Amino acid sequence: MAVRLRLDGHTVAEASRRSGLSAPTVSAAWKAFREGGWEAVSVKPRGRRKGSGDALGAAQRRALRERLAELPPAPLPAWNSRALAETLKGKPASPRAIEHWWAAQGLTVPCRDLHDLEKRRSSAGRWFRQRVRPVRDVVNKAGGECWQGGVRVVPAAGDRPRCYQLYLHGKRGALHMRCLPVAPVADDYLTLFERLLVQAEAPIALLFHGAWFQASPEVQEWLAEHLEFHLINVPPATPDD
Amino acid sequence: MSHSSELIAEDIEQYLKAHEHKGLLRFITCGSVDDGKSTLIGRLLFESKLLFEDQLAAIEADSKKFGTQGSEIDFALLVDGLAAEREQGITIDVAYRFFSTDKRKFIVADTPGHEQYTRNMVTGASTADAAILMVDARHGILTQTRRHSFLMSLIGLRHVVVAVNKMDLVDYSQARFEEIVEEYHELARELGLGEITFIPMSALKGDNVIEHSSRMPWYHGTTLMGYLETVEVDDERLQRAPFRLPVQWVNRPNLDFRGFSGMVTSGVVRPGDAIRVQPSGKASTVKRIYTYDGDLDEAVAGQSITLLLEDEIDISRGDVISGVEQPAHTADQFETTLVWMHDKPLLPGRPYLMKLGTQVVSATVTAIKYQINVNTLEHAAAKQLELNGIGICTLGLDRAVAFDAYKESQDTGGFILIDRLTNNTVGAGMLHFALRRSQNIHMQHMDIDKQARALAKGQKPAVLWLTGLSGAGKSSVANLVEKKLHAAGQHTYLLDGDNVRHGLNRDLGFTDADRVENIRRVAEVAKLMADAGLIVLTAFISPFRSERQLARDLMGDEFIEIFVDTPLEVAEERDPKGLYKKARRGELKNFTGIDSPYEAPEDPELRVDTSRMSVEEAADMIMTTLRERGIIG
Amino acid sequence: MTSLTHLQRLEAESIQIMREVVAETEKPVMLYSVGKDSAVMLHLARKAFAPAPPPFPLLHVDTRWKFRAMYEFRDRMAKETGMDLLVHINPEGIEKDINPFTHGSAIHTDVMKTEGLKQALNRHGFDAAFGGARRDEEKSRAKERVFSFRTAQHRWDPKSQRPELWKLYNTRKHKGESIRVFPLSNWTELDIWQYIYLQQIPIVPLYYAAERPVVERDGALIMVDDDRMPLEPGEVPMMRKVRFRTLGCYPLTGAIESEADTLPAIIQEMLLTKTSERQGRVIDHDSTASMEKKKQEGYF
Repeated sequence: MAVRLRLDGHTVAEASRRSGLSAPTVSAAWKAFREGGWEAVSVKPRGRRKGSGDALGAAQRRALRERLAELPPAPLPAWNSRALAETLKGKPASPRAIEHWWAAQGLTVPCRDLHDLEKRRSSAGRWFRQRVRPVRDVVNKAGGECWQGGVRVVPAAGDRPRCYQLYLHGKRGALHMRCLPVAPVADDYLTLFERLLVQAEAPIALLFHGAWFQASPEVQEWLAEHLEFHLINVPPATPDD
Repeated sequence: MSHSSELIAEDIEQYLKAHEHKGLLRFITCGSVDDGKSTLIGRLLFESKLLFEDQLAAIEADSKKFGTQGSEIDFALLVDGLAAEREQGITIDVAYRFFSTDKRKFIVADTPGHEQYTRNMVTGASTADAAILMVDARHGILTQTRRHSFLMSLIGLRHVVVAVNKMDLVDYSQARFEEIVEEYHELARELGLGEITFIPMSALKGDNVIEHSSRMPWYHGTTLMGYLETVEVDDERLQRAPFRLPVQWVNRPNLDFRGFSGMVTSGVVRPGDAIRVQPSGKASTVKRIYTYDGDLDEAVAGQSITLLLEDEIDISRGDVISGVEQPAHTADQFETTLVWMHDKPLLPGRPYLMKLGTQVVSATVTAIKYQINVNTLEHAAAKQLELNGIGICTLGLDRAVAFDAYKESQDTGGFILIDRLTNNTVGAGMLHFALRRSQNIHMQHMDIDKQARALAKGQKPAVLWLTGLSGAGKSSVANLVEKKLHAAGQHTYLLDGDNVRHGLNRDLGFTDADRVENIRRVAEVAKLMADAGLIVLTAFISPFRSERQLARDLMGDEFIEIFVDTPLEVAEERDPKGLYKKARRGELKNFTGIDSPYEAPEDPELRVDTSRMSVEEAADMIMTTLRERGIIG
Repeated sequence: MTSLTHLQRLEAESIQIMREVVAETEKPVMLYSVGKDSAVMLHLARKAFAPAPPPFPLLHVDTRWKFRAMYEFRDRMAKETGMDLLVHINPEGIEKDINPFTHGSAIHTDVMKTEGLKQALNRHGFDAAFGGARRDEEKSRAKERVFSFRTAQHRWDPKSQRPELWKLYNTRKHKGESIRVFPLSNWTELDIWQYIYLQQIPIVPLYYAAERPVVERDGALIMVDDDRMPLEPGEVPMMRKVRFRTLGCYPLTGAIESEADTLPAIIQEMLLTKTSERQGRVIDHDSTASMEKKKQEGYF
């Protein structure tokens, strides 16, 4: 496809954008074509491993993408696989099928293993013992919940455009997420925080990675008003981790 | 040939290691756009993959707008500048472009083939190791081919590849290629061009540029890229040449460190090597080769280093440190080839500044022997050199410089001329050989001349040049003559060893080179004083005829050579300062009459023999001569 | 026989150029931009004049908007080299509070950088200034000379540019005129990186990928280096693993997302992703002001 775009007179950059292939790939394909014609262009099916999300139809996948950009029904802070599965019309899908589809789309985020950090002598270990453990102990004592989460950019994959993913790991590491077309703003975060408080009806400790809340007056103000919400920023990765 | 993307992706450290050891080749491309030069450079840049995607995208867009190759990428657009750039009127139009392969990094000097080709090409070629000469297979050897070839021979390019381009337009004909090869061989012989490689190719179609062309199975030689990657750079030749280090900078951070910094322009140097400093001629031994990264056991041509010497000798910027076996020559008159690079023509007689290595001196073109027509190679007489003119000229300097013939060493034989008023670089030249010091240097005309100054003093200027052995009585005689002149109301000055050696010439020793320089300076000072209207007396051994001739040439009629002729035995017996005894004991080297020659004047204006007459008699004899010549009343 | 590598030849050439300038000009200075090219240039200067420190000061024409990491690094290097560091900020810029946000990148650059540089050169009477520009940075720079002559008004006049033959540089100039000297003219971006790697030259950490707070502005990732960066209502900067291919004023310098946190990885990334480095500079996209124009005005 990239080569055809180039034959149509598109630039590398344009062909790359339209085909969703990287510029070097387009360039290589074009070069191969000029030197050896179509046979020289290796046409391999991209990405998508066997069985990944095949259980879902195209319309269902489109619907899922749309859902992920929206707010889940209250008080859910973000979509989990069960809630998503329930929204699907037509052929019923299992939460497991949703998780497969997530994995295929590159949307699965592993949960940070806190037990492992307890005994680490690295700066991350120190951070955990000094910043996380005391807060967690306080929250647990008050019958609250400990969550982890973050925000990140997920590059485009297949027919899914690039997106900004808000993710949370709840009890037993259950993954919750929202996928937005633009970077989340203070409101998005605050909605998420508020729903966490509402669904728990107890204090919350949230270890969050990937947002620079220090620069957001809205978030700082909200945190000052909600002392039962303990936000702990995960520091940037350091080499001795 | 190009960067191996796989290695980059898989093992970047390995890749970096391999690329640390790459060499560098600088080359120039000669030919016009019509020859496909830009297409060729564009293709080399493209194939070496050092083009970035955004650049490529811009070029593709341009190709569609301005390109001449239909839907294909017009490689020429990669190298042709922007329209605005062309309109700027840059005086020297040389573009430098870069690409690299696994074997080498390349710097291409690209010069437009049209107008101003001479100064552009000479500039671009001066830093090149090799040249690609583009020839259109359809047209063969043209006037411009001859022109470019001549300039290549002029600048001394040793590696030339003749790219017979557009073979696709002559049906890849072997016969046509061989015809051109033969024709060019003849031209090369005429010009004395050395190693030449011929490659039949098509820059547009890519034949024999990177890969061997299947359309020319009859050609078994190298591809152009193959040539560029393997052609010998001149490292070996340069390192075999005698050691030269033009001193750029004397590094003296404290009393314990005195380093002489510069780039080794030829040869090899190691600690313990005996060296000589030119033009002074002083000798010493290399103690250390200092660099920031630690001392070196050896430094070779092309390295920037700092030398420390065993002896504390006076060396300053502009001096050339040479290996003692074959030190640089020193001279102040040369035959040169000059390339004129400025709109205002070169005028013989006008003083320019000359930069040769790290030396800057005043230089005057004393004569244009002939001018060379770059198209026909014919010689023609010329009174001046216009822009892009090339002439064989003689050049006179205000002082001696250290040099090598250009063909031996480009960096100690190539120079530029700078206009004193505008500070522009107006010419470039190549030294061939030193001339005898016989020609007059034309001087700046001044409104108040010597006559006017002399008139104000009511006298006629003259230079009484007393020459003779040490102890001959030169100073005593000169001293008395000056007293007599002074008593007669004349304005005088006496130059002798005492007032010159301690001041003006205190940097000079007693080697032949230093003696020559000593006398040259005395002659120049005497001339200035005579110009000021004085009667000047000089009392120096001045043992060499050629230097006294130089003084005579400088002064003309006012020069009166007085040979204080005393036999060596008499002088040695007098030995007022005990120098002869020292010299005989071998404690004093280069003593005139003992182990250094005295060349007696052949035809002096006056000869006085102090072994047969008193100092008083000798002085009176000189006064009589001055009266006879109408210098004093 | 010893064969010199391309980096050895480039190094020797740059050192030769620096020594010529110091020997033949009255008051040279090194324009220190704190970037990687400046780092290489400074390293070469130390080599050229060792064991003495380079016999000229460093001049940083500050805009007040550089990355904080650059200021820290700058002060550290000045201390380490034993060189004088002169910092000049255009007082007019301070007075009028010129900044890239309210005045736009063109005016900001013109006042703080171009004018600031002229002021600093005039004030100290420098007659030669080393700059780290390279010919491979832009097509229009391919014809730049190593020695670039400026009038007393700091303008670049095409007519007064001189041919450069062999290793001979004509440094003569009239009173008031000055020269910009580019000792790295013949280096490419790859050469610079390879040399930094080989010689272990310290560079500002911003070149290495790390998680940094960024926001998106017109498709570029801009680092929120301090609280002067105006944010949109509700905007929350994201921590993303990014690095910088060029360094300048932080609001005008785009970051790229990258995992390259070692020198080999940076070089690898540079060789595999092929967008030329100046793309990261917002300044280039701003208006149609071409390099040529900037050059004539004395930006370089």
